[in-house]
Amino acid sequence: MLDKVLKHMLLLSFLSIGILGCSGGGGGSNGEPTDLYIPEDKPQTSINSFSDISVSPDFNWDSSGKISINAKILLNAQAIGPVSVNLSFYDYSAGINKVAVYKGSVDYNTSIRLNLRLPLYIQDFNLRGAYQNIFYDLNLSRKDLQNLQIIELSHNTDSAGDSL
Amino acid sequence: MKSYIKIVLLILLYTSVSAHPGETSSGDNGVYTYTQTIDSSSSSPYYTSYDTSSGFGVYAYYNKDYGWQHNFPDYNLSGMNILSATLVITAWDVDSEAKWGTQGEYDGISLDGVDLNPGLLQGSNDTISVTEFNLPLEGITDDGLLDMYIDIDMNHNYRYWATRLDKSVLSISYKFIQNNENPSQPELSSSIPAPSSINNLVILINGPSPADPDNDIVSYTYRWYVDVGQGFYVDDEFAGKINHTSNTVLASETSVFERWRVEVTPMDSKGAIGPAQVYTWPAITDDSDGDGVSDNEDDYPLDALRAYNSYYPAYNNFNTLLFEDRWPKKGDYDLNDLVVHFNFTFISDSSNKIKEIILISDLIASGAMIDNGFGIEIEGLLDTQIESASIEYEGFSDSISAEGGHTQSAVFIIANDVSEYMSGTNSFSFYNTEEGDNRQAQRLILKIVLVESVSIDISNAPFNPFIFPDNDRSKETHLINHAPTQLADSSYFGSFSDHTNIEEGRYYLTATGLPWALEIVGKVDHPKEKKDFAKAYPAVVEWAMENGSKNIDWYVYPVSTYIWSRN
Repeated sequence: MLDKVLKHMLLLSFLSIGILGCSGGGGGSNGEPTDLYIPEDKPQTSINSFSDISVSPDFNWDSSGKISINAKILLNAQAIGPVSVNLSFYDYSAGINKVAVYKGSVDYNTSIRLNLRLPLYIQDFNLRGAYQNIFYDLNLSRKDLQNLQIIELSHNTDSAGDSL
Repeated sequence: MKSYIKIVLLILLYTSVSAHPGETSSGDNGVYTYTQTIDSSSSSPYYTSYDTSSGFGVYAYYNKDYGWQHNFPDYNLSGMNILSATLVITAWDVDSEAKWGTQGEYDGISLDGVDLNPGLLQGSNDTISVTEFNLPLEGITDDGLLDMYIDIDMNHNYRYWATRLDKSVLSISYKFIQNNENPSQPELSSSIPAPSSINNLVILINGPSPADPDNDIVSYTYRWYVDVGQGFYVDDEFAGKINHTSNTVLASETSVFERWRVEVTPMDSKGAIGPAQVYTWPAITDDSDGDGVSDNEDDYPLDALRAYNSYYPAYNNFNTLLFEDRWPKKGDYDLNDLVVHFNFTFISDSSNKIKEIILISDLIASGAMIDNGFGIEIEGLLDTQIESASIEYEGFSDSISAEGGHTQSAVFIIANDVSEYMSGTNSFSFYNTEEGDNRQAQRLILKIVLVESVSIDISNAPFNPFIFPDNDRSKETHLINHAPTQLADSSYFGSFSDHTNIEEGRYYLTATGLPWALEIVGKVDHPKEKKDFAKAYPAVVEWAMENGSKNIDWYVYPVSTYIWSRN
């Protein structure tokens, strides 16, 4: 057999996923009311009438906040058609794995900016890229979103001829 | 003398074999079968071995192509009708499995210079393989001579793949039927000439009419080929598919980027075959609607105007809106005059522009003494951009229009009077705010379809929901720091407890920063009638007073005695 190797590699890279902005308060564990339990770290206050509350002028009473994500897709192959981008979040306490929030697409070597409003308690995200039935899943925390990300997806195919 | 006769007989026998190496046998019903084998022992004019590195029985590479000839002596006899005609080639070490892609061993076989179907020898590494080719009738009946040729390893011009042909066997079944015309070559079409991965491949026979010149009933046989990425068509079963023999290949049997071909051969009621016709589809696409988004990723694979679903707050998740309805007067802060659970679906096209908005509003509770209306303003959208809008309730859909009088946004009145959906009873003055009142939510679905997709910042969801009392559109109550619509009367601002400052962009708040409406993450249960929100959710006090830095999940710790909840 004549040994020859032909390698085809498809490289799908997600580059530069950064959080541009985040506003609002913090987050909890669940969007659903659960029970009557008030933990010790949430002490009762002397104010027991809503009318008696006084807040700072810039407080918006928001339990959700906006985030902006810039994602750039690098594809080192002849690309035909867009790369789909699918953002979900993980809501463990709700017993649900990935909860879809956003779905869109971006041409390779261009950027997509996602402006989203999400519950502040959400901390873990999944960003999926899909191109011609090749998928890449990237799990991100809010903290991860601030860091540069480079991910590769490779496919190899070997071939051989007959030997003398 | 005997020796002389023997020599003469041997010469005659040799001449006979050389001139006519085929054999004809007769079977039932007057069917004859002509079989002719060409191999390394064959001689001119059927086969000539030019050198030891080429030809039958030789393991040969790309530059050792060669030819041979079959013949069919009875090709022009009167009344001869061909029932079947095949060529079977036996070869060694044909590496044409699909796994090699475009780099496999592809040995093409042609008849009179025309490539046959399948387009190459079919076999695997270091094994004897047998490939059966259908032969076109015109290649047989034109002169009775079948000039065959093998092009070894068509994809390489250097020594790469090699193969060895052992024999080529021609087999023709025929019958003498006087005054019978062969059926005509079929005319083919497909209902889906550019199939995607969700389409069945169905070949249709459109003609000619009649299908047979002497009006015999005609049936058809189907042989399917597929190019799974090799650049050549092989039998579907060789490519790992089912051996399809009908006029249909189901979508589940195809894959994206495959190219399919079918060869349709007509046969009349007497068994005579006619010229076959071949139909070839373009490569299977994964984009049925041609919007550039593959079907797997397209939430609307058959709609080029729609591609993706996005959501607020998330798929199958709802947030809660709670309103006090006494603005500009401070209310009792049970925040249950109108309670709505809502979810947005944003349907975008392949360029991420919004084509359709679906707002599900589950009217949960109404603790109001007045008849409140409920509406929403969508900034960045104009009524001229709207193709249609509707409100669906209990399975019935009514068309609505964007409210007039708004030049900077589109406003939709979801309910002019929510009490039409949530009315009191003899037992309960309100709807789902009193102990024991446990009625179903009333679901209203607003659908907005845009003429052309537009860019809308979905992070502005839930946009600008509001209530208004007793059909009075001049008096609106919005979420804090959400501006009124153009129909609101600004003279209310600053009256009673309202501390709106238009210049600073601050709306619908008291002097101490209290709102008249809240949006809360998730399906949050509201206070019972006249129960203070701070008692129902004690942790909200510290959250608010500490500017959101503490008790960020305050809404998941209600006090049950103060809240209404579904039993």
